[in-house]
Amino acid sequence: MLPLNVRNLTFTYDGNDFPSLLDINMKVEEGEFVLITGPSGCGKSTLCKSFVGLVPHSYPGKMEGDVEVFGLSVKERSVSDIATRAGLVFQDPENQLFTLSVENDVAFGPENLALPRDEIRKRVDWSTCAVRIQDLLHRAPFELSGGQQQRVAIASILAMKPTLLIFDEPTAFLDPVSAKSLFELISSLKKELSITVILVEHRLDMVAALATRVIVLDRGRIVLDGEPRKVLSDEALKKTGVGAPAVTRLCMNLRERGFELRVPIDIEEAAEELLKILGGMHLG
Amino acid sequence: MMALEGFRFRRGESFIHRSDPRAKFLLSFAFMMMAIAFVKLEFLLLIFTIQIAILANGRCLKDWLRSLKGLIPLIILIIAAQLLVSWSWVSAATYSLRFVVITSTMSWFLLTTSPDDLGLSLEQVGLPSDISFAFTMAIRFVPVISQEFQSVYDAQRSRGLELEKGSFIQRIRKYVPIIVPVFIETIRRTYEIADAMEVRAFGAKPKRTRLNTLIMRPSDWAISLIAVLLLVGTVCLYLFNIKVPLINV
Amino acid sequence: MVEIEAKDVWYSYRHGIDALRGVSLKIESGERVAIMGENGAGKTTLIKLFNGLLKPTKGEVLIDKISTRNISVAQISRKVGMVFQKPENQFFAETVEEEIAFGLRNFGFKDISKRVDEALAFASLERYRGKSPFSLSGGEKKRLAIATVMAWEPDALLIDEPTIGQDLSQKVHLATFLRDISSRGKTVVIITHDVDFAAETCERAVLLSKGVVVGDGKIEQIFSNLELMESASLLPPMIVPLLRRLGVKEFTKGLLGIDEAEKLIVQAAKR
Repeated sequence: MLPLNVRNLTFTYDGNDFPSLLDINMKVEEGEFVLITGPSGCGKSTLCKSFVGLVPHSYPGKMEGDVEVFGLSVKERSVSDIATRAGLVFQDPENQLFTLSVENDVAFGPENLALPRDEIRKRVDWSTCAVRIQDLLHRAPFELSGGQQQRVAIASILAMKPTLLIFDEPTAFLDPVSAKSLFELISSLKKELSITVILVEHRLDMVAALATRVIVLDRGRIVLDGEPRKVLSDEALKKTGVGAPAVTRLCMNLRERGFELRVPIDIEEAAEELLKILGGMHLG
Repeated sequence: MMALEGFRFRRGESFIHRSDPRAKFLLSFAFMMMAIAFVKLEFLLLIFTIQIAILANGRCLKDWLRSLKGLIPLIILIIAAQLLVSWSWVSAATYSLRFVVITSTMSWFLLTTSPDDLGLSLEQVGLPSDISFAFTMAIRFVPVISQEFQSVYDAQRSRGLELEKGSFIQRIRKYVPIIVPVFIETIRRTYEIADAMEVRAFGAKPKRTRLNTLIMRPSDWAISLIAVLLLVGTVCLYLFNIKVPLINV
Repeated sequence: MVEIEAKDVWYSYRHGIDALRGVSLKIESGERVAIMGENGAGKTTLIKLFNGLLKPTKGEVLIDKISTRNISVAQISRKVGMVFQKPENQFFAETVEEEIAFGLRNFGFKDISKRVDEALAFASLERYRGKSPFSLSGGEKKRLAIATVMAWEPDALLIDEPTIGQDLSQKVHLATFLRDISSRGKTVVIITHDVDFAAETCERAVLLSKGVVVGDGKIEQIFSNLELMESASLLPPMIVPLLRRLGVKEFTKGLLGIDEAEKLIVQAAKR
């Protein structure tokens, strides 16, 4: 069963004249790490919300087509039903933490599912360990740094035991070092827990190397979908206003000038390729 | 704003912190009723001393003192009013002390009880979980909203807004650029919070289970018993007008 | 023309946390400075001290040699305009033009209508004149926030995190916008995490870490000093570690972007 199957999805918010999502078709297989990106206003957030049912249940509008999460239709099932299969972590940690202790926040989801107390205890301990915040259990969320708060948010979603995790620009409010640390956490979570990950991000230089697939959205439509190197080196990317990592763009420009090199997505690959062109010699 | 600090929860491990909120509430309520019913200086001093001891145990004397600082204008007002009415310093001291005792009962209760536990106790007492949760969340977001007011105020000051200048009406109008953005941002925030709650299956089951529940320890039962006795005693003495030395004679 | 100076400034918040510990720096007229550092390093505190919202616990902040303790926030803001991180947090008017007029009215300008027209044109927001500020997109709201401040033509512009939530084309637009403002003789001070944006927009970088200035100088020198950047919890522009791996030792400002790097590699490959 596919973690995610989006078929002919078109969605228009009530009160809008134009659809926010137009004819979206995408299938996500188990174990993928999908990076979704696109210019501001392209519909990324709406898309994430449709993956868990917030669209259309909490955001009224006209929805054509459907989204299936592990076979469950998002249109027909409630957000709560989907919540145990697909989790969504939002941008702003402040608005995802509702209580005065990390433990209570992480327990919130399992409590809503009316699980027995020992099960809740097990899940809280497990998920806080998975994101390495077990020593913060009794701290108040507002005392924590942005990066720590996002970890608490992730732990509270993990406690629902979803096998598809979606992140909507989780590092928007974090500084670059905290952001990098969070991406590394997401990557290791994926490996350790064997889950499927969908990440919406602007900061491509930090995440391009982690993804197995990149989807580019523009004005509600999917314009590019494929292997990271292919997508990031595609001409069409420039038109959407999305910036490929600097090293990728550098090498693309050199290719245009006639140099033979593979397209890199991180610094290591770029250095390798460039040293080849320079015949092993150094600059400067 | 400083006055409010004396009512904001501070984490701690003291006996009073760990006592059950329901027991604490009963005791705090009992103290309040006694202070309302018996307006006698010596008696009030006794309750006052007990409350100081409670605050000391909870290590929240400093916060409580800060709240008192904020209440000084009101206290002075009460002293002045009493002096005018009764020409008696004793009377002025009594009524102002009574005010302090009453506000302090709320103060020590809120300073030592986490809003999470407050919400939990409401739930365990029978209130629907939706309502107790709304209550806890409101408290959790108060500092956030107050911070927002500060941010908006700063931003508008940087656009030349000067609240201290102008006629009374002009000054009231100047609050609009502060209240409107906070209001709108709060509404927007509630959508995000609602989304985050839904995604954690809020409402999935009619009754939630709880990881941590409040359990009354023997000391909590003792406190509750004392509180109930005090309340019953207060009501009796008051209703039947029984005079007891020290308390109301 | 305005000169902003911090002289051995210390700032502690009420709970005893020292946000700034002995910060000294001077920003001359027309400079374009990026103030950077990890969250909590004291950046926002510093610019709030620059516009008078906060007064130093110890030390002085001088605007044109006058201490901020002796002038009001309104007076300072007239010269040193500040744009906050979340512009939507300050919008309250029914129309975009009302929003722009607000600051102008507060400062007592008479030619409000003319300035509103100019501000709208400068920010390319004319078609939104009569619309609600809340109907604008994220990028447009940022431009509006800057336009409301530019309308009263302060001598300096302090912007807190101009690029949060902005995509590449919006950032390019904004960088041009800021360089334009600077070419009119205004000082531009931005707080940002975005090293690429800072490299595009500024010539000087000040690094703060835990309340102390750990680096202050030409942006290319600061960004190419990998150890310094790491100590301030910053990641340099991607090009820098790459070029260092390829042997580059000295960096010019141009080398922080891909065009120069490209030329350099092409030249070297020809040899």
